Amino acid sequence: MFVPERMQEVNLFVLADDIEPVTETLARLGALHLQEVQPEAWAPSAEWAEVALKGRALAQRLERLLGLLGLPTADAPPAARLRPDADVKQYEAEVTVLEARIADLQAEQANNERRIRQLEAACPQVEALLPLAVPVELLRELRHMHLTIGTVPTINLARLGEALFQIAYVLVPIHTEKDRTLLFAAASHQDAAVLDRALSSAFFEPITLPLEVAGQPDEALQALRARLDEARGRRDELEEARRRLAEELGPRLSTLWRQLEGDTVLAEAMRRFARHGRVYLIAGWVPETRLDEVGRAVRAAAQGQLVIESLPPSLTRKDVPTLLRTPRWLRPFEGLVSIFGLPAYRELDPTLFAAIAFLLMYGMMFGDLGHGLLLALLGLWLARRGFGYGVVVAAAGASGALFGLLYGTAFGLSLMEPLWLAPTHQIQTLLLSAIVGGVVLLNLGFLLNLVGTARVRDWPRFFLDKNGLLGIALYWTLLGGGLLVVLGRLAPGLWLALLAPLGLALWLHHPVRLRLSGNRTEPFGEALVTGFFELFEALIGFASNSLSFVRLGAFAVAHEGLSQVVLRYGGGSTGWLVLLLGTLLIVVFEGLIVGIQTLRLEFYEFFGRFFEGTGRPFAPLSLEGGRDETVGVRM
Amino acid sequence: MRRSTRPFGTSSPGSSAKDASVLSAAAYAAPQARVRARRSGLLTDAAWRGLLEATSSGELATAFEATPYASDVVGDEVGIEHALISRVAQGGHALLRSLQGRPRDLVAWYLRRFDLDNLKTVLRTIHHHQDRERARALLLRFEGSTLDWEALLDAGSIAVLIDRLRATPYARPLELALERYQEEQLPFYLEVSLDLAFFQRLVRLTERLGGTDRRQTERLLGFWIATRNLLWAYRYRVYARMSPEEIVNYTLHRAYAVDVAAVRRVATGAPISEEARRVGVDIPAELAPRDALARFETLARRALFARAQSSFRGWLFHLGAVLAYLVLLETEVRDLITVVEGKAQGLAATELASRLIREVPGVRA
Repeated sequence: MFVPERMQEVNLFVLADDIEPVTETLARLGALHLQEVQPEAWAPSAEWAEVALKGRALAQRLERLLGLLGLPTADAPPAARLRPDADVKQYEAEVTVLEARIADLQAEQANNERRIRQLEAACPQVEALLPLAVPVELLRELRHMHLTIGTVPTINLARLGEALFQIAYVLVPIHTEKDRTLLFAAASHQDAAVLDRALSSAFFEPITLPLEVAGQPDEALQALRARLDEARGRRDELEEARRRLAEELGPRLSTLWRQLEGDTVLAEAMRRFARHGRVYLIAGWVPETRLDEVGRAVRAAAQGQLVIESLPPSLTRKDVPTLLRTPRWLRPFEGLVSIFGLPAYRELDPTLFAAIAFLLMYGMMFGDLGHGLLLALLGLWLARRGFGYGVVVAAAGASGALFGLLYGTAFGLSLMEPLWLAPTHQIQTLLLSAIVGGVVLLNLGFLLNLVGTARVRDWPRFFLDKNGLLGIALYWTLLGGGLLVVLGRLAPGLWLALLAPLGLALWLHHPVRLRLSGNRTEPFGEALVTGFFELFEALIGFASNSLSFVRLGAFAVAHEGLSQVVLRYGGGSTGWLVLLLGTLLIVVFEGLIVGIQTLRLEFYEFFGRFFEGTGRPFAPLSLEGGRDETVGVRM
Repeated sequence: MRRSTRPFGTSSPGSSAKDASVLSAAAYAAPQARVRARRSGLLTDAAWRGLLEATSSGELATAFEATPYASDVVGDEVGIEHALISRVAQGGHALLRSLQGRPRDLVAWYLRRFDLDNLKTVLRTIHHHQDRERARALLLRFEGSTLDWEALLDAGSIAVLIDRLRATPYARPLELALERYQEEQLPFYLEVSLDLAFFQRLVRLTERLGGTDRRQTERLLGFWIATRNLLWAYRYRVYARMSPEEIVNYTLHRAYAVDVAAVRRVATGAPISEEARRVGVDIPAELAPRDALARFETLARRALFARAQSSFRGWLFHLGAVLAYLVLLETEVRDLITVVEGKAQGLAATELASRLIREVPGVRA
């Protein structure tokens, strides 16, 4: 729960004859995160690139056919054995035959749709001509005016006007759909070329008024609408024909598509393997818990004729993928961490700490029994509707309700004796408690940084980093010592004398180590200047990070104050409306703002101490959607 | 509030001290330190003289050994150029981590021009059915990129490429130009649409900044955008012989000193010397259009370089320092490319020095 799943780096040396079944076995297991390696004298497996390309093209053609027949692409992995090379050759002809069968229907549907679009586009054009009461055919023969109709990207409309600065013109936008605008554009015949060039360079797509449109605009419109109805009727007939064809060909198309998608996934993977003569090298990462399973399966696929090497990653490896082991009950909070980043392989997984800190801080800021329970109900409703963060909202609401008991308030009313304190009456205690809570959280961050750096034996960072032991010493000397000075229990001179060596050590340790190690990648001067500013930043940061937690108390006070305002104006005949809207505002709006503030504290003040979140998700070779790149992939 | 009467973007970097605050000092402490330190790693005049005065490839290699670029100047000229420009992309990305908020958004987007360069390489590769291996070698190394370049190179057609870019800000501009591209089979339309979308967003992100950050960004990036816009307009007129309406449609309308009115003037025949003067670059009026254009390009780069150098005076803690360093780094890299190419052509040191953006004092022939 606190660290990602342990990984093993695996190298499989496979004979060329077995490469397809072994890769298929790995893809069906979904347990190997591939990595590209190219040892000296090994070449890339370029022969599979062509297969992958052809397989992808065939799968896309099938996907198109499925789309034309209105059929979905199935998610299930292919049932039959995959042989990318042979499959691609074998199925090409069959795909062509299937395409030919669907092509006629498709062509007729496309023509009919084009005609519908043309007629639909023509109707508003002719409607716009109604006031003219001139036969439409005369407009095509305009002697003094060049008229063109079409659509232009809406964002280019203003540009178009600017581009026509040299001529007299008329642009009439008719209506906007998605991000294109239907436009009438007109200019004199002598300026026609300028208008056309301007339109064309603004990515205008012309629509041609069908020649069949003739007569007075009202008659032409009537005729157009009749033809439109006819074309729409034909659309229904064609749709029925499509449905019948879908029933007949659908199962085969789906099977073929799954097969070729699978073949393509394998070929894509194989083209990345290194090859030396008849031997392929498959390299990647496997979770330690599945190593035996993978070994057994690939041995069976290659009938024992392969070599498997596995070794744990060294401490310095940065490219190990991350597979989290978050317990089910904690998973809703995993999303909060992933907003910031995925833990790197050697990092601690902060989900549990993040969840506890989030709930405590949220509850403290949103403490009210009534509002908290309402928010919890809202969260449960959202969770039932499938909203990912619904559970988090519900838990935050419950925490708010709990703090409501501690504050003794429900819907802003002091209904009971506070179990801890009343925010608006004991502001100083509340603010101090908030800072103390913040100091505890910051120190938890320091502690987690110590644990994290000790795990990777990064002793310089453990001892000398601003979040390491040296940083902790400086933090406590700065804040604790400062407090003692204010209370008169420590002489300011002694305080400064304690601070100075720690500050110097934090400033100079990096440049000095650089100089001693003879490392020339970072110039000494650069390290010296950077170190100074980082010390400056750390000192400001220690103070500002701690004081930042004052907002926990300030929001608690503000919450109660806002609730009081709602209650105050909640009297009279319209009072119920004020109460309703006010409560809604508090629960939704303030709830959201408190959430943002909580995340801010968590990300900047807490995570900033120990967590980088630079992990790469474990994305195994898989037949279910290919290589999944989503965060938090789990087996 | 009294409005400044200075011409566009000429406010001195120190004039913003009034906006200086402890907060900005805290926010820019780390980036400033990194920038200052990295700036001290840029090549010295002595190193430049060593490079310019090298008389053989052996001497040039030795001179490069004394610079951080030794590992980049191996292989052919294309490979060297590619490796050197990648340095700017990597340098920018390294600084990005120390920035936060809107300044970070702006720099991140500014660095995406390396994505744009790579995308154009992919577009041309697909359009001309060129070798993918060759294209792969031409892609700039940019760690900040989130695009799957292998998948993009394998797209096979522009329509599929756009589909693969669906979740990125590049898909929409390409889609707008797709029909025109398909009609005329010229990747120019796709590239111009990408460029316009990129620069329009860059201007918007600059406008979202406040105070010193915005002034400094306008002073550097604003000038760069304006001169780019002017160059586009003149190139379309002089080289492509486009009509005024096309020029206006293929350029930016809000590019600081070079707005739509300036573009219109260019489109209808205004001499380059006149428009160049408006952005603070003086070129002789008697030059032929093509020579004037080349001269303007060089002088605009020099002017930007001078602005970047002067950004390191006065109050330190603002975004201008980060952008200025990136300008200095890019200038250095471009000059190094000029040196490598010039040496291959056997140019004398003084001739080569005159082609650089930066000045190198005391170069012997």
